[in-house]
Amino acid sequence: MAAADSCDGISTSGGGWEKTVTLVSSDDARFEVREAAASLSQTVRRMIRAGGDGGIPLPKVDARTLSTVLEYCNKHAAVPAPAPESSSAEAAAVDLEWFDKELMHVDLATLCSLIRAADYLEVAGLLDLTCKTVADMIKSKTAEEIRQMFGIQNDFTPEEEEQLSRENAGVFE
Amino acid sequence: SADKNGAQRESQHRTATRSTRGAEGSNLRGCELGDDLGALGDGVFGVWRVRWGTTRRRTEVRIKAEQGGCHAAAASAAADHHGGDAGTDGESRALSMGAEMVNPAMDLMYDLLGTFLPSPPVSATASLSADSSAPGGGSEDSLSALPDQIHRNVVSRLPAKDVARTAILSSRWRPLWRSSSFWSTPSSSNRPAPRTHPCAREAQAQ
Repeated sequence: MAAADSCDGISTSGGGWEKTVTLVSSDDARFEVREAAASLSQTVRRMIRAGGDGGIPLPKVDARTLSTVLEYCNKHAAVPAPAPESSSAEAAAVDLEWFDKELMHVDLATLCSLIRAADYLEVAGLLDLTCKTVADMIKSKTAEEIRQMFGIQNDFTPEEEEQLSRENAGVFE
Repeated sequence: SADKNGAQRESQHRTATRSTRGAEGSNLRGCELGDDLGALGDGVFGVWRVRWGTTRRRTEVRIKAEQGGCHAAAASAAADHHGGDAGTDGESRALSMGAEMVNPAMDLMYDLLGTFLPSPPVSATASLSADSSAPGGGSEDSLSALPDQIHRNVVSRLPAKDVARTAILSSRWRPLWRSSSFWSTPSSSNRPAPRTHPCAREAQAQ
């Protein structure tokens, strides 16, 4: 945190305890976030270190997606360091799991935007969560079901498809 | 009537300019064809020159343009615009020679010229938009539009059967199966037990 003291893009809120940073989305919406939460993004963390004027620009993330990402970051940064065997830590973990589950109740387009954002912002936990969500959607579905669900166009010719099925026969049985 | 034509041409010009900008992401202007089409490549320029006057050929220009991808699409838009200018001239020329005589020779020429069209930079079905963050038809199949490393991330979380299934979804998903970290990470809990071919198994049983 000390490294960020001289940075103009950072203001100190209320009691002076919690530093905040201003993130600017692609559509110029400004989000003031606790630095601890924003630092869950490695990309933002690097930019905080580098310093800068008038907020941290994130040209690849729109406001709607960024607000969801920050919701995730705020929630996860608020959880104190895990104290093993304590009942409150356990409750917090359950709560967090519930929160993640609720956060993933979005349509496919939003989910893909979140994946892109998590990848660009390098929020490892969110990237993990979103990719796991997509994997769970694919699991135990036939190829045709997966194509329908995600709107994937089958561009193989019938011959190619037959050949692929033959190649993969061992795994398909 | 002249005014009306002028206004129509102006609006066509705007369309041409827009699509040219979309395709090239630069300041190309559809009306300044001499310079700008030169920049698009000799093949396109040649085709455009030959077809300039023949309005009845416009559909074919478009078809050829589609084969040529983004670059040629720009030429098509430009040809559309200028077709109006020289239409009468071209029409009368075609009539005096007789359509049956013109078509085979011209077709041959178009085919020849068509082979000089530049190959599409990415894909013939790619969006003309310069905005790479909004590929294809928006949210439609946004999953396939995600970068490879994310596909691999997703695929690496799947059990063997599902991984193989993703390989036959479409050509976009095909190479991911083979390059998947799934096959190269020994620690992966999802790693399948080595499978033997059914024939081999039968042989073992005997």
